[in-house]
Amino acid sequence: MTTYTRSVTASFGNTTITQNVNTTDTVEVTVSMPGNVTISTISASNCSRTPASMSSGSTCTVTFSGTGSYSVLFMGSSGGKEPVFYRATLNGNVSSASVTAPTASSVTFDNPASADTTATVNLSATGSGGTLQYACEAGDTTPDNWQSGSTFTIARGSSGTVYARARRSSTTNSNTVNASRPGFLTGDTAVSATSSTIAVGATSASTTLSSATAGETYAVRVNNGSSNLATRTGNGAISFTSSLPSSGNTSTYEIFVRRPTSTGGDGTTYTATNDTFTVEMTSQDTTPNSFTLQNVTNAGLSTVYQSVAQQVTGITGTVTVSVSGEGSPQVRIGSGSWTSGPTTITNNYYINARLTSSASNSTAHTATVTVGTYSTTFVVTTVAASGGSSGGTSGGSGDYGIEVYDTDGTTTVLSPSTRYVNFMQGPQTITVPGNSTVLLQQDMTGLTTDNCDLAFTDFGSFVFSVARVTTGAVSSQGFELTNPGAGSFVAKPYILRF
Amino acid sequence: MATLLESDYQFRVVEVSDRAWLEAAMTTGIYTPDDAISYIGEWDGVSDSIPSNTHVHFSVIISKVSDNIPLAWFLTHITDSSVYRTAIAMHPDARGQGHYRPIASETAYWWFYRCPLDIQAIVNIVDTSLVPKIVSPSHYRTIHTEGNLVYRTVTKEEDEASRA
Repeated sequence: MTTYTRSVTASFGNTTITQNVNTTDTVEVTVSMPGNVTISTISASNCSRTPASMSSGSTCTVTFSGTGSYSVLFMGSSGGKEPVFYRATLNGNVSSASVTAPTASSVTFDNPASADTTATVNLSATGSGGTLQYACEAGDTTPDNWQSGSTFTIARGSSGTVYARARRSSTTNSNTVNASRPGFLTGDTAVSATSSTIAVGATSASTTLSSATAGETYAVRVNNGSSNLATRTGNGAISFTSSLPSSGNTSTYEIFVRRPTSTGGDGTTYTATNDTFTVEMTSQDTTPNSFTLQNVTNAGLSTVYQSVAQQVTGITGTVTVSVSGEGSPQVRIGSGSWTSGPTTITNNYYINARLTSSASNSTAHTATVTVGTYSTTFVVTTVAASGGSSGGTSGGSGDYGIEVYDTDGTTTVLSPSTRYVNFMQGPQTITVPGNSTVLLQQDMTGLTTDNCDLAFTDFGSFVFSVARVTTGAVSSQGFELTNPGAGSFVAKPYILRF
Repeated sequence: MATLLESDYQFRVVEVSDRAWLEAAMTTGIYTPDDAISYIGEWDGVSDSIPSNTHVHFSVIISKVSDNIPLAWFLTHITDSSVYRTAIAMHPDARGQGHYRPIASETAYWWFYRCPLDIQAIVNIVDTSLVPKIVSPSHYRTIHTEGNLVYRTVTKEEDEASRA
């Protein structure tokens, strides 16, 4: 391929220059017109010219395709009634150029963040004659998708070979070169994940990703693991609920990344970023703040008594509760069922205990209630036996009731003029939660509004109601304190018999 | 005998008997009926060759096919494969009736597709002080301006493309 550079000045009549060429050659001819008149027409025969008109002194490019004689006529004219026409002619013969094959040296690829790559077929020698064309295909050892450009679109793949070659004519092929098909890109590893501490008993943990690449999917796995615990796309929080650390321990997790096909990934494979984070679960506190269960005295025989519910505080997570002792003791957590245990409790729940009092007078039944590492007791002591056998009574009269004498038979210990007040229950400190009712359990047999009531000491300003429960099982009898307000209050009540 | 340009207009070579009509049409004085008549015989519109490296005048009268009434005188210079249209004289009775552009379009059609010569380009040279309108079709290219003279041209391939 040769480019010839020629120049010619047109004249009245014609000025002719000759240039013989091959079909692959180009002639660049600069044409001047007398008086710088415009070259108004450029007519070509057996060749192509660009442009079709131009100003004086400009250059016209002439190319060829067929063989044989050719000519290009450059024409300009003056104006006026009788214009003067100036001509210049380029002519010659076009020969067929010999065709030699190009030599392919390599096929190379760019590496864009996209599903497709661009392959470029490189030549070490371009050959001559004919028309240079390129072919490039994946998996075809004799590519034949011929085109004039040297670049091709090749889709990424996990395997395979790309073959390429060039030619000048259908019979002058170059050698074939090949290269491995461009593989998929992995995700960007420049991501950061935050560590965190979770409370004991927590059922989920989370980390927050930053510096993540938009559009890429990130997975949380146990460090060096193979199973995704949770995934998300781009920056933000990821929560996961499995493989959490146990109480008091720390686990390490790793971020894996998956690149979508649109940016050159395979869309399925997660790769390690080597970016790790930790989750620590705090140690469990199984020792509650100390509390006591209100004991019962002067209890009836073989009767079920329950204490006053106490709020359990100062623990974390789920703590085991057990109860043991005499009188078939049971515990109840919150408003749950009574159970012999073991059971469990969490912070701020109420616990209560009950047992069956002894069948003997002046006998204590003790239940030991254990919450985590803390134990307390609930004691129910039965009433003492009635007075000695040497005592006596005298019948009442129309004015008096009965009198009770001491063992000497003369000392009056109870008479209509010597009335006694008995503490049936108390004093005991109780907490009545907001919008709740607490039962001060008491066998209400024989107790009426005339001989029994509730008294308080050490109480503040609050409003509550008291109801007597005199029917039903003894274990559910007593005085009910109902707190209609939202906040709890503490009171110290007495159940008095007079 | 008239020759059809494309569809609506036709031409015939000027004859001596056209002198009176030419006298009425040529109102600028630049060209005279003697000029128009002197070009008779340089090319007859039928021969398929002209002398190389020179130019010939082609002096014709245009009329409508429908009534054969003469409308305008056209002077064209033919040189090798190009034609240069250098003069138009519209008869006063035909002026202002929109004949310029369709005649220019139909003559181009004749030069490119019906003429026995191999015409590859047409150049219109217009003195805008005399012909204030652009008479060339819109796909013609202005290639040169010199005073009131405007050179506009079209190649055969450009004209073919515009008609496609």
